[in-house]
Amino acid sequence: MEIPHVVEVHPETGIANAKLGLWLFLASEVMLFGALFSSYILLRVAAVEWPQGSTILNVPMATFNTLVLIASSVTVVMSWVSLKLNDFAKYRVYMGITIACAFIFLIVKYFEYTAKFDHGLSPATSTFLAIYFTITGLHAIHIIGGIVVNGYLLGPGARMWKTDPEQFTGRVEAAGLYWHFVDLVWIFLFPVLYLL
Amino acid sequence: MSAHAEDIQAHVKTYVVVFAVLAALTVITVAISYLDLSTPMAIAVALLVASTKAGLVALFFMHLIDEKKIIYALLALAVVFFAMCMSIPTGWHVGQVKSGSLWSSMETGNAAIDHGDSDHGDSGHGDSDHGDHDHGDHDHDHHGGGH
Repeated sequence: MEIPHVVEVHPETGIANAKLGLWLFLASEVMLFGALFSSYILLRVAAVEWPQGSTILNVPMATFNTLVLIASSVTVVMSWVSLKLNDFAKYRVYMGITIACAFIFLIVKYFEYTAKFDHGLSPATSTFLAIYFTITGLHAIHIIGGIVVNGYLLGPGARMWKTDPEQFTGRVEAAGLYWHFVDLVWIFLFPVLYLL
Repeated sequence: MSAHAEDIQAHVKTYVVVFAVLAALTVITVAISYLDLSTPMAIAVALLVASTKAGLVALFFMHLIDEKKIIYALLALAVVFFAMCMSIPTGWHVGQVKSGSLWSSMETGNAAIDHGDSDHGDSGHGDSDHGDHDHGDHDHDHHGGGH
């Protein structure tokens, strides 16, 4: 059975179902991270003491990570552009760079986390570290999810380019939207946790 | 869904410019954190810069700027709920939700037990105890009404 309006727009909404579905999903993700941000606010306002993030966390590493994620956002949109311009080879390059940036982000996060653990700092040490590990950990899980999806679209999923290029382009666009959202969350996480 | 190559090329230029602006704003965010701003000011400025960056990503990378109305409506709904979510800690009995000196009590380990107060390791927080109890009663009423 064919799912309708996956590629061609739905007459009432004006967009493809896939895109609407993905934006709906992103709206729910906003609430997920919103709940954690709101917990952060409550915990911080209610606390007697709260450390400034830069005294505990590594700002240069996180700044580098921020730039890495922003770059990956550019490359993922460029991969979609390449498909629009019928350049499959370029698409592979850009999607590959996107996934590489994602791995770089995770590797830097790994070094950040292990540096904390080596100093005996863990989520149990303080409320600040508890919310830090929780929210950045959830974000890292989202990055892993993005790597899986983007990896599929670079690898076995790319076969669809031969059979249905428009639907494949739509898939890449949808994956890109998710990836931009992950970047967006980090854009807020970075100043809130590391700088304030 | 045929887009002309020239349009796409114009888009590409936009993406590069937006990336440059985002990188610059990232540097600015870090630089501002070195200024000795008061906490409310620091929060306001940091969130302003972050919102600008987020807006650029959403408008240009996620193509929101030329998206259909239904998406705007959906996002407006999400914003409303997000605002409600954020207003819970900032507007609701915040003064009574004192969690005690979580930072220092966790460092020293058993400060709460030493003080003899099981919940709020500081007898000075007796008021918040009452506040929480009131909270509990209210919640109970709500649940009663719901059923």
